[in-house]
Amino acid sequence: MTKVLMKGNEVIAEAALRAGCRAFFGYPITPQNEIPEYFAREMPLRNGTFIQAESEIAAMNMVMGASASGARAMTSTSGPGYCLKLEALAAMTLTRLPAVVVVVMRNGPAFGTMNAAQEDYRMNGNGGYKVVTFAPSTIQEAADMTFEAFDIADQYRNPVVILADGMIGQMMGSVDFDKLPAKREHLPEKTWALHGRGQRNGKSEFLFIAEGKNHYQEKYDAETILYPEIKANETSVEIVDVEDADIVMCAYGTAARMCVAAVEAIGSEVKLGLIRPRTLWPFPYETFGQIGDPCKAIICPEINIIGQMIDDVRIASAGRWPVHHVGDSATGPLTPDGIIEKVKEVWKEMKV
Amino acid sequence: MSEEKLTIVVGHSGSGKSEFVAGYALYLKNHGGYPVIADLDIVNPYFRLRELKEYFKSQDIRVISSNYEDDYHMDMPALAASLQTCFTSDGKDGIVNIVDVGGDPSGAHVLARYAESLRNKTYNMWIVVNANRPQTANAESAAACIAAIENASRLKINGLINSTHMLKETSVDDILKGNKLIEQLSKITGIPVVYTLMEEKFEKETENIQLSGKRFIVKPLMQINVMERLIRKDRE
Repeated sequence: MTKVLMKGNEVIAEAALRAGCRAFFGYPITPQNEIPEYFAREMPLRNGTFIQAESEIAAMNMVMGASASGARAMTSTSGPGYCLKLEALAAMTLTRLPAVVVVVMRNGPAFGTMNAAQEDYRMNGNGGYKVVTFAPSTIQEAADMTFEAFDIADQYRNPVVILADGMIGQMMGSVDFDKLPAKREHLPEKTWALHGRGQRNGKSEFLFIAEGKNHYQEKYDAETILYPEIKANETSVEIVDVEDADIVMCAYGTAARMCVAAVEAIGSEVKLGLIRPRTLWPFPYETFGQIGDPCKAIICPEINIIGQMIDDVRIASAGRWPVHHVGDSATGPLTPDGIIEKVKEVWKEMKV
Repeated sequence: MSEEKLTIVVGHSGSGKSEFVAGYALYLKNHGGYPVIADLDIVNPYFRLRELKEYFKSQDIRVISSNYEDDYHMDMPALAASLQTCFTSDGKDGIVNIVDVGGDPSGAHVLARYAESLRNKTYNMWIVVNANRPQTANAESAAACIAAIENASRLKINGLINSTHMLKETSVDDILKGNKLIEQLSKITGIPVVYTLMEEKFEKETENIQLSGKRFIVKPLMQINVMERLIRKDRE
């Protein structure tokens, strides 16, 4: 197939369909509306189910139900809706049900504005659960990550989150669906799934929730077996020129693209490196060991105030370098110019 | 092309409507006209003409959009009352209204609110088609898109524009692919081709090629990569 021109949100929906997603439940919110719109149009044509639920909470619980019956299920939302989906998401990690949750982040708190943002990095984790969290930076990557997310969810029986900023959802870009990652082989059979009784010959019930000592056992297994396995296998990161960089930037999604623009603009004045996590969990902590001796500081551009991923960057830095945040300004969201200014400021301090 | 006082631009989302409207407004301005841009896009949250408002101001071109002119990132599909004048203006003083409509039939719905004002009036209603968009990749699906937009807007499309591109990766092959599609589409629907849109850099390369409609050269204002747009926005 050849390349086509699509919006990030459309690409996410199409990649999900190609991954075998045939159950989508959602509730509208900008800037992700093209995802449910795409499914609303395509699901009936591809023997799938699209339901616009009465709320985000309902949508996420429908995802749980569809997943329990063995379907590849998905939902999508933005920050305010993500808040509402978290209880069911946590329940799915407890009951070990796979699903894909797409969050196209906008500027909060709460309804905020429609502007693109990266403000939902720290949202989940009630009860201590972890989910693989992808951060696409291009339209092609949005397709690749969504496609792979379904395999990963099934492989580990654990939900996967795609954390895209609004810009990735709304921007147009070229995509080649022939270049999607290879389908994973030997995924575990869903022997636990409820298919219905009678002619379908399925089992009538299955106790998903472990009780008493088993509850602790499940969580202990997650800590000692499941999460270490995911960390070892699924951590993904792009590393550019960190060995001899004076300053290393660490950013994801659209902020990482802005970093590339900053490198183009002032890369000849300051040697800049870039660490771009493709997975936010597992976070690529070890990557920071590749940073060379010349590095004097880390800058962490994020489309938010204060910084969220910066905490992981500080942990990864372990006090070896000062870590600086640059983000939204008093007049608007993070821009490449904002990053350039910060780099110049830090560079000046370093030279003094 | 007929010199109507009102030109409505519709199309599948992401085809290049706003890009054409921006270019067309500048073209009219440079040819002694007084274009007014009406941004009727209430389905897209980003990449709308109103984001280039300051630029158009510097070009002495007025942009009318939402009631919330200075805070258009509120999630409210509000239309300014002054938009009505774009549909009722008699074109005195050389004013030419160009209406940029949101993508797809859902975006064109908003036009139905003004359809009554256009009864017994002549106007251009042009559809921008990009053959690289999966929903308008062949003549049949593009014709279906036309029918759906006409149905939603209660207005008739009377001109086709080939705007086939792949953002920065565009080649002459894309323009030719679009030309083939637009000719087939014209045959199926009986609607004439008005323009073939292209960036300046393709003008020379295509000068000996037969293309449907007039050539319309655009300087990419909207479709350039988002980072450049952000940089520019900050510097303006």
